[in-house]
Amino acid sequence: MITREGILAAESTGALLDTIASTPYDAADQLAVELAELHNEGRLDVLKVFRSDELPSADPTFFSLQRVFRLALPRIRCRVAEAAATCQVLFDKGGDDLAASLVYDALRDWLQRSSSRADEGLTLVRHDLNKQTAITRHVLVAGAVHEPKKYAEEALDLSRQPQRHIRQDALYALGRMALEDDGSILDRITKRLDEVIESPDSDCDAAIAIGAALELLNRFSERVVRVVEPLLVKACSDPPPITRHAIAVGLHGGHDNYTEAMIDASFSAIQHADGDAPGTIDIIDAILHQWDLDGDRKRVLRLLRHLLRNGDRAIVLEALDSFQHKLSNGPGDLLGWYVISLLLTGDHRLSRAAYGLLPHNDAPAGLDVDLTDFGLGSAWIRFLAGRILGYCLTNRAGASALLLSCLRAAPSESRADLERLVLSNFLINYPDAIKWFETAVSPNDPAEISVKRLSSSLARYMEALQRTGFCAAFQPSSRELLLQAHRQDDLGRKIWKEAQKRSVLSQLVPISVLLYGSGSVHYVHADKDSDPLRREMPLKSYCQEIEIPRLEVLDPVGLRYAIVLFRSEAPPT
Amino acid sequence: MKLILVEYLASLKERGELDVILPDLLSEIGMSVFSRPAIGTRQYGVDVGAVGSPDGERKVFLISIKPGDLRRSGWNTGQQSLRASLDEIRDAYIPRNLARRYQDLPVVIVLCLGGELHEAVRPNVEGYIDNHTNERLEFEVWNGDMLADLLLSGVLRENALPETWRSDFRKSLALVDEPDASFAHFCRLVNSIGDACEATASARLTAIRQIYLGLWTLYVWGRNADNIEASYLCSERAVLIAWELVKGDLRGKSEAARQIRLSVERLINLHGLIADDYISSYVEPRAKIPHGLSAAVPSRASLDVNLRLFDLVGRVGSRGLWLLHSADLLTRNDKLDDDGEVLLAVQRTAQLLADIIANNPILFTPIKDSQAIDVNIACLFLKRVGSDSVIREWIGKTAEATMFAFRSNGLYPCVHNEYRDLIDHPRQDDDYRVEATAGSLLTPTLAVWAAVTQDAETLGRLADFVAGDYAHSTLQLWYPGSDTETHLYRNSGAHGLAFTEIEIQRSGEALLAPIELECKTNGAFTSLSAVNFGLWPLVILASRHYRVPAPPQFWRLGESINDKAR
Repeated sequence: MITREGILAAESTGALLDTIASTPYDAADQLAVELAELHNEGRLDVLKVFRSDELPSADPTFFSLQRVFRLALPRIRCRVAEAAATCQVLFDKGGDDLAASLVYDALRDWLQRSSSRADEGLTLVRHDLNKQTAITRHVLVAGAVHEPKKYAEEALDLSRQPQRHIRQDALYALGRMALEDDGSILDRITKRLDEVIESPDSDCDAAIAIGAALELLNRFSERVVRVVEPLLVKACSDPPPITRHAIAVGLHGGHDNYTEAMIDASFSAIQHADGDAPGTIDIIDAILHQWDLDGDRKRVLRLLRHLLRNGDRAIVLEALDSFQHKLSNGPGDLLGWYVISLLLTGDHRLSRAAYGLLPHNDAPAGLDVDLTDFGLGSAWIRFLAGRILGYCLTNRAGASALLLSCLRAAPSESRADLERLVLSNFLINYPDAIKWFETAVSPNDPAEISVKRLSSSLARYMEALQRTGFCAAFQPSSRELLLQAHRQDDLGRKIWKEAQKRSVLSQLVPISVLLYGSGSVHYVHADKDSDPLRREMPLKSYCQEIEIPRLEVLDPVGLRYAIVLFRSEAPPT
Repeated sequence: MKLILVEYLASLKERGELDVILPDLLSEIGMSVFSRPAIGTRQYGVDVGAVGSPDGERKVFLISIKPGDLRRSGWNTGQQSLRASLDEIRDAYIPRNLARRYQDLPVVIVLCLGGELHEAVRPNVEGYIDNHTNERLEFEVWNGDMLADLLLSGVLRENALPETWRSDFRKSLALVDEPDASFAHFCRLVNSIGDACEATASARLTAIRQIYLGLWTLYVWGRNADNIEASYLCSERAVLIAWELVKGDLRGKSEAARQIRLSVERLINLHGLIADDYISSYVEPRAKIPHGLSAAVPSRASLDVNLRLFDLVGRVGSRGLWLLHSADLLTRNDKLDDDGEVLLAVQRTAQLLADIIANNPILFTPIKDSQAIDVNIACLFLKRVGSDSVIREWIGKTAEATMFAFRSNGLYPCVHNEYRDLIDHPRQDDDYRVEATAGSLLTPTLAVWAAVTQDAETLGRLADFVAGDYAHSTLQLWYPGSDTETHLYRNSGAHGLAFTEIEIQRSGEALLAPIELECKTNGAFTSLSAVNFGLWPLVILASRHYRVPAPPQFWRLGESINDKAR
């Protein structure tokens, strides 16, 4: 535990920042108290210490220091300008990290502790409106805790100022200020926000205004919903990207208070987000992750259809990884519905997304969905089978289930054609898939007859090949086999490296390479005084298997050509 | 070495095998062969007849051959038994068929066994010999051991086959399961024999016989190991090297010329035998099965499947052309029967080729530009037998798949031939695709066959392709040049002329006209010794074996190369 003397000694040798940074997590609060007291006693200028040029930038050491500052600031007595300047330095050093802005939360807490601090802050802002400052919104929000009416008036006034930073901070504060329980000020605030949305000085103004309005909805729900609804609907009409982002944020945080019209409007606004707005896409991903994917299928599908084919900057499914994970690991019938719906669009990007939704290695129960609800005729079933083969062929388990759905739904007159398609393009690639078909069909299953015929045809095909077997005389030379083996090794190493690069685990933990043994031993030091505990850890191995379609070896170009043909088939007219 | 030969001899069949090598064996030890095996002619028990004096006294040797070991059943069961043959020799051949000039000479009836005389039958044989031996008639038993001694003292004698050669020979046998290694050792042996041959016709005749016996031994060895890949490759090389060796000795009526012609013919027949065995053992049983041949390649790499399948197509096409050549010869001599064996073999080979192509779609997607050589050989054969529809479909699909592969940066045909380069093909860097397709024999070959089969649609697509995506590629064909005869059969250097006056157009006539003109103008083709001698399939063989394009003059094969040579 560092003492006050220790702090002063460290300060005198210029090592105080290092000392603070190396303080254990649990001791940070006590250290913050000591620092604040030393500052208030005039024995140490803590704010100056944290404005030092030696302060590191946006690394773990920096955020340790920032945390101690945030703990100390509410206890420090100083001028608003000094506190604001120190916060500005710490904010700038935090870079793009979301945690950088936490320092202003501490400032707002500090301002809120006394009305005089907020007043001093307001005076500072008002003194020179042209001066760039980041404290306006915090001053307004903190001041409203003590004098809501006064600060609401101040915020409304400042929201009309020509200085952009002042105006936008005031608009932001309008949605988050404490308000007197008097409907009139709320009306004036929503009216002001409506004005901004109607004729904003900038796209950013409109985005902040809609954000503020949706924040009000979160806080006052029923009281403002009738006012916010038209405001949101208006904002959702062809919004600029920044407003779309705000709409997405609002939908993510507060859709429980939304009317259907607001949800519709928000979905129609966010569906135009593209790869140029990765932040918005992340929010949309979070929205979809929490959405009712089963009950609201059509709305979600409509959103996907737009998001995944928004021109050249359309996103790929992997950008919606939370949604993808939720759907892929959810009920098979729901996943199957989305996959088939996307395939039936006939769109290349959507069909690729359909493939991306399918989990590898295994098909969840129920993926072989009943196609009755889709109302497909034989031409559409044939088309769907082609899409499955064109896009999902390399996912054996998924494709098996989806093709079985087609076999079940096929009318008797087109069954033979479909069986030929499945045999020559799927089962020949994955002969073992027939076992899955056989297991999946139950007595009186509409696909039973097809599966029997396919099984028989496949058995004939395989039996002929097994009867003749490999021919030793056709064997590549030893040199050729060796070269192939080296190539496979190289490829394996490349894949391993790539997998390591993308592994979240490898970014979190240090890597040790063990050259010998089937396990490792290490000692855990619980504390300084006790004996270390010996721990043995057996090594585990893991592997990932991918089944390659047989035609990848027997006729690779033909396989690709067939896939291209399936992919380029037009939907039935 | 002797053990190898003993085993080899024991594995030989009677018809077409043991009876074929025996005359050479006798000739090499100074005997004069007056009767050789013949099918359809009654021989009264005599498979080979020879006269000579191996132990000083001039005698007639009447040899009856039995393959493998002699057991009781082979001795006296049925009309084909050895005892029946010996009786026929005594009762019919000696009194009625032995030439007058040999009638005063002592006669030795030889019981020639590829293997051993079994103890169970020895008393019977010895009793027979004792009963029928007299002043003028003796009996001898030549077993595998004795024949091996004959080989070693004759055609494979120490001074004719130095230890280094024997070492290569032994290695080629020992490594039949590793065909490329076996082939390499055999090539060294054959090249050594050719290089060391003295400049006399008889030395060259001996050399051919050595090559022939060496090939036979290798073939039998491979057959026992159920892998005649090396034998096939070696048979091609053996024929080509032998031709180079004796191509100047073939004309004329001398005994030496006759013997050399006979030896060349036998070597070519042995190549045919091996090719037929290869095709009937490995290819035919799988040809009618979808993916049957592709799935038979023991590899998980599509490259290996691709290389093997095009190689097979070249081999079957080449064999088909040899059969056509035989049919041409028989026709010329008015010996071709409509339902004759050769015609049936031609038809069967054509159907086989069609089945291979139909059931192995990897044959629509060549990965090496030089696979045009195999495509061309197969099409030459199919065209001659009137299978235009097979060619048309194959070429059409190949052209389409090739263009698709190139445009999609997939496994398109490239100029590389080295396996190391091919496993990295196609690389994805920008310049690679242009470099890998800098020249093309395949594209004009496909265009020519599309034109020949009047496939205007394919020709049109190819015309658009070469005018667009493929404009950078130097389209070319290959014609023999004045230096081709020197290098063709031993692949001793680059030769011939690249022909780039090719413009693929929608009109087949316009495409073919300059090619036809060069065919007419180029005199090197008909000057080739093989063409000149009427053995034009040798050029195809060299083309396939050494990966040199088949000359475009063969596209006019319908007019019969034999006629031109004549």
